[in-house]
Amino acid sequence: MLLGKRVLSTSTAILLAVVIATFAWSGMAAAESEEYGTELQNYFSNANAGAGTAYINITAPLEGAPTATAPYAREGELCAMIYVFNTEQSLQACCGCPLTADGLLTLNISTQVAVNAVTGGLIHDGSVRIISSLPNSTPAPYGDTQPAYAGCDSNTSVCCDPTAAAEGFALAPTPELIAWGDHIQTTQITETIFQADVPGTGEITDPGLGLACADVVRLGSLQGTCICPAAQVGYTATAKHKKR
Amino acid sequence: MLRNGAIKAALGVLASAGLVFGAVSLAAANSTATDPFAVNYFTNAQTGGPVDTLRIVDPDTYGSPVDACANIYVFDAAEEMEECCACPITPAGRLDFNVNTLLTSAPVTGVPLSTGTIKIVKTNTNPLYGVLVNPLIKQCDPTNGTNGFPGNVAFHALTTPGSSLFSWITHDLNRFATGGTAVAEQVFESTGEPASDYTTVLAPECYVTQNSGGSYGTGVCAAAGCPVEVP
Repeated sequence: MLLGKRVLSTSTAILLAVVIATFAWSGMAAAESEEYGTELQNYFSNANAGAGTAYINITAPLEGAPTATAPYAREGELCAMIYVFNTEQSLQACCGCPLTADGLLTLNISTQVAVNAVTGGLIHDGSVRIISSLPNSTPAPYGDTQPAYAGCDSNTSVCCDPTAAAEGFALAPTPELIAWGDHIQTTQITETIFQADVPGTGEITDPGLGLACADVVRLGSLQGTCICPAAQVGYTATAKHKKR
Repeated sequence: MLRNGAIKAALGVLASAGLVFGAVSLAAANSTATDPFAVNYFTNAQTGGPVDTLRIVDPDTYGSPVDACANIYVFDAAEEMEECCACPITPAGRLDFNVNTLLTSAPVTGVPLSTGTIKIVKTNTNPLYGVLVNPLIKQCDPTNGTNGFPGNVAFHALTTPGSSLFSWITHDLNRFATGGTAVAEQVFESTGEPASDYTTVLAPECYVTQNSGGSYGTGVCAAAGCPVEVP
């Protein structure tokens, strides 16, 4: 009986130990940053200040599915939904840029990210959040104007709408993107990788980043948008199509 | 007595929790090196600025006789694979690649690359290499045996968990309005992608890349030979 109690208490102790360790580990894991993820965050500094030029570089490392039906799926195409904040946490601009697997999306922070704030004018310091998602819209019908904030890929006929208006302003994060951001310091430029996180439910569902972006581009009229690089969007590389 | 027993039990639980936590943490620390896939980018190559360097280290156990292969796939900014190659690397060995001369100078399109991405995949070496007398059987083949050479069947298995390559690359930011330069360095990032990305996409695409350039470019990086491990 005594032995039984001792065994029971030992088992209980081990069980408790595992539970405690699991909780501790899960907490630590949640706090750690991964290199890749569905929400990437970084800051920018001294943009549009004449001190130099900084860039954001984004890549999509996962390969496409060669047998997929949809062209964008074959290309492993994702959207970099970009949300630009000032230092007072106010969303100032947003845009969605398509990016195929192993491609490199390079945005000039001064001329493409922090140049067209909803309040008008330039942004000097702030932060950027990038949500990785599948393409969520299609090009505007012939004769209609494509919204400036929704970048399209003419090869695959898909677009990236950061407002996610067609989906009830709800974003659908999808792995994965990796990004690096330059930082203009006093006399030098440094670079860090975007920190990856799991977006909170409040960010990706209505009213989250999608609706905030919709409000910004509506209030700003033609302001409140960042600018997708034109070179990579809809760019038809002869080598690839010659090869396949 | 009861109180002492309760305290001992509590201490026992905490000590056990510490041991378990430590074990879990150690396992997790090892798992950070289990992904054979890694990615980074290059910028301002072939522009006359500071030369960027890719450095690869094999973290496998020092003294182990088993070499590995660093399969390197170079893409332009529009995701087109432009060059690929594979180089053997020994445990604790280091390979240095000049981005200008070894990785971006012979793209399949014939136009040297200035920006793009680099993906590195660690695989085993070909077990047939050195056993069969056939010069067409390579120790490291980035096409994974899809190159059509006789006897060169698919042989690369991705390395077992716990073994990845560690890589770093310098970035020539070179964007000061005053004409100065800025160089940063980043570690290659694990991608966590499935092994099928290597077998069904990267390797076959490498074969196509290396065989479609014609007179434009070979599509082969380090064509003159892999860099010698840094002594």
